Amino acid sequence: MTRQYEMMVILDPAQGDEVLAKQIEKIEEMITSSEGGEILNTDKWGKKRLAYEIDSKQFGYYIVFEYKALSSLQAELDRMLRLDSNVVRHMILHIPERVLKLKEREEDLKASLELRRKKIAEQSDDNVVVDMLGKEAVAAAEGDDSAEAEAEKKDEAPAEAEAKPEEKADEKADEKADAKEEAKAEDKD
Amino acid sequence: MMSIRKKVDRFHENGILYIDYKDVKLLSRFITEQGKIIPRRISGTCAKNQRMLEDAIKRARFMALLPYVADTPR
Repeated sequence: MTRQYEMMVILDPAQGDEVLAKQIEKIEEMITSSEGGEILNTDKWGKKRLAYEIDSKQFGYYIVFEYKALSSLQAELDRMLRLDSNVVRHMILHIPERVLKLKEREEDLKASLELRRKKIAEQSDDNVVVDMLGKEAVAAAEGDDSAEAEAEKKDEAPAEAEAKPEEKADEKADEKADAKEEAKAEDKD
Repeated sequence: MMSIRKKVDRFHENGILYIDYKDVKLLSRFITEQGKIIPRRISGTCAKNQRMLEDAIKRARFMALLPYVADTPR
């Protein structure tokens, strides 16, 4: 049974682009030539600075392969990459079905969150427009009625906004110690 | 009292279900300047996501995407 895997390989960028390309090809071939092997995606990140030196190297050429293959191929791949002195680091991960489903759901969730945020943004935009209209009306007509109406609107909005934090403050009154830590965390952030 | 805020799991907020070790930008928000993983009690991450986050950060460290130790403040 084939399973889905993800493999990240860091190659030594000191070798020329040609050698790198050949090496990538070699790895790809090893996957595709195996039974049931299929490459879904090859993502070449390119030369990146390593977060710490490895074998006194500062940079690495990152490649991410997503592929389907038999589990028995992984040991072979692993050995091949380990013996290859041009491979700085490599990691093969099995991507379980569960994770694939999660990733799918994540996209939907993000899309819906985005929608909700846009709606909220639009609503607040509308409020601004109303306010501006109100002011213009005041300027144009200098009518007392419209000015009063606008004043009322403004009063309402902040009152609502203030009410909520107060409620929360009451809830949190007995969590003062926690709150201190939170404040620290926020400073760090 | 300056800022009293309820702890929120930022993964819940942003609809993240799977924390990927390749997302360095996201992960780097959950480590200190020295490269330490920020504890749950401070970041507010829920237990489940903190476990997933730890795995992701440790994988990223192995692949030299994140430092194990970084003393110099950047």
